[in-house]
This record gives sequence, structure tokens and C-alpha cells, in this order.
Amino acid sequence: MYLIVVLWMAAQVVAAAGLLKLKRWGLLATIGLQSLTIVNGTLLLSIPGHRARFLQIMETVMATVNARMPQPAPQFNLPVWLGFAASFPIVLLILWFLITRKGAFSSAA
Amino acid sequence: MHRSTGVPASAVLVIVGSAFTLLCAAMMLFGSAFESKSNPAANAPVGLGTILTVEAIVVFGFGGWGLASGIGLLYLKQWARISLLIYAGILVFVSLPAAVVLAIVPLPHATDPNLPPNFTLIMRVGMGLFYAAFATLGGFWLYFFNKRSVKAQFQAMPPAPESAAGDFFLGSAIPAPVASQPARPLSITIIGWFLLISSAVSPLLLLTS
Repeated sequence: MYLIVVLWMAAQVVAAAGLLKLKRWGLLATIGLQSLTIVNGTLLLSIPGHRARFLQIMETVMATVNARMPQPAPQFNLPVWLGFAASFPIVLLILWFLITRKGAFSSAA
Repeated sequence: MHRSTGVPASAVLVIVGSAFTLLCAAMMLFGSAFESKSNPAANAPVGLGTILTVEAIVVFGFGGWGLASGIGLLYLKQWARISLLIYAGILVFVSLPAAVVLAIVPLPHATDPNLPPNFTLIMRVGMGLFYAAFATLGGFWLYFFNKRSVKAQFQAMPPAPESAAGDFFLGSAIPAPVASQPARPLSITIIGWFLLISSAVSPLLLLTS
């Protein structure tokens, strides 16, 4: 799982660098990564098995963090959809800006 | 040109807030020095002191950024206006979801009998208002510093005074980009830096989890 996260972050860094240099590939890569984020979130919410797996991962993370603390952190029963409900508008806003500002990007690779 | 009071007022607010942030970072460093001498939690590969030190460095960075932006705003520097717009965007992105989550998430009940029975409700309302206030401030800054009249104040550069020490804030204006260079929209700058910073911070979270 760590490898996937590191690869995802590396791809995001490269895409963001291209975006800041106004490269067309940077624009396309960022749109692709943000679209994948939406697909990933939708699948996670809609498939019950994935949702249960996600909850299991979150419980493991909390248990790991609590083991290192002098006192365990209070338990918040956050619904899975809440995190995605907060992040979806941000991703959609990013996509909207990327698509409406595509004219600023050069075609040079 | 008429100088609106909102700009220096925002600058003062940013400087005071940044000074408070730097103070918090110093207290975190102070706390980490004490924590390292006490008994660490069992089975902890990374001590709480190390986490506090890393967090203090990040908070120092934000405080320094804010302080520079506040001083830049007083001198009507264009980069300071863009910097504050980026900061306002982050403020809205962080504070608005936090206010919404605090309004609807079930909080753990207080077990201490000395606390009032409606303590959880007070905490919910208080923290919700706290984040809502920051979200409102961020939204106001996004609106205010994008107003045509305010933008014009930053574009009309005052003549640079003599500065033998090469003052960073009083130095001459950055020359306008060559016409052949395409201008980068502000929204793209904010998105690019947001993705870069969030990607850079994520590996740190992996190390501590």
C-alpha cells in the first residue's frame, strides 16, 4: 500500500510541476489523476466489500497511532462517506479550473 | 491612488496571526525538548519529541511565510497579494470542511461529572464557529484581494526608495514578463502549489503512521 501511495504522490509532483510550467502534458496528467481520485472514491463508497476493507485499514491506523501515545485518542465514529463528501467538491473545483483555463497551456511537451 | 483601509488592516491581521503562529512553533520546540527527557510511549519507533520537532518546523515555515506576506502587503507588493490569495484558498479548503464535519459528526460524550451536561454541545458550537470564522475570513480575502480596485493598488508600483542594504521588501519591482511568455492564471498557480505541497507532506505522514 505504501508503494502505491508513494507512486501516486510522485506522479502528482511531476504533474504539478508540468502544470506550473504551463505544459499541456502537465494539464492532462493532473486532469487524469484528479479523475482517478473521483473513480477511486466512487468505487470505495459503492462497493460494500471495499468499504469494509477501508474501515478495517482506518481501524488499524488508529490502533497503530494509539499504541504510540501515552493516552489513546478519543474515538470518532466518522462515516466513510463524510471524508469523500468533503474532498469531492475540492476535486471538482480543481477539474473545473483546469478545464476552463486550458487555453493558457502550451502544446510543447 | 486611493489606498483602501482593508489592505493595511489585513496586513496587520496577517502579521499578528503569523507572530502567534511563530510563538506556537517555539512552544512546540520547547515542549519537544522536555518530552525527549521523559519516558517515551511503549513500542514507539518515532518519539513524540521528533513528531513535535517536525511539526514545529512546518509551523515555523507557515509563520515565516505569513510574516513575509504581511510585510509585503504593507508595501503593496504583488507577490504578497498572490501569496495571501493562496493562503486564503487553503484557509477556506481546511476550515469549511472542518466546520461542516464538526456540525454533523457524533462527538464522544464527556465522562467527567464536573463538566456541565451540555459540554459536548458547547464544544461543538464553539469549535464550529471557530472554523466558520476562519472560513469566512478566507472567503472575504479571496473576494477582497480579487477586486479590481484592490488589484490596481498592487499594480501601481511606488518608486523604490534608496536602500543601501538591498532591502528585500523595498527593492525594485520585478520586471513585467515578456509578451511572448504566456501568463499563468492564478488558479493554476494555486492548484499546482497545492498539489506539490500536499504530495510532499504525504510521505511524512506515512513515516509517522
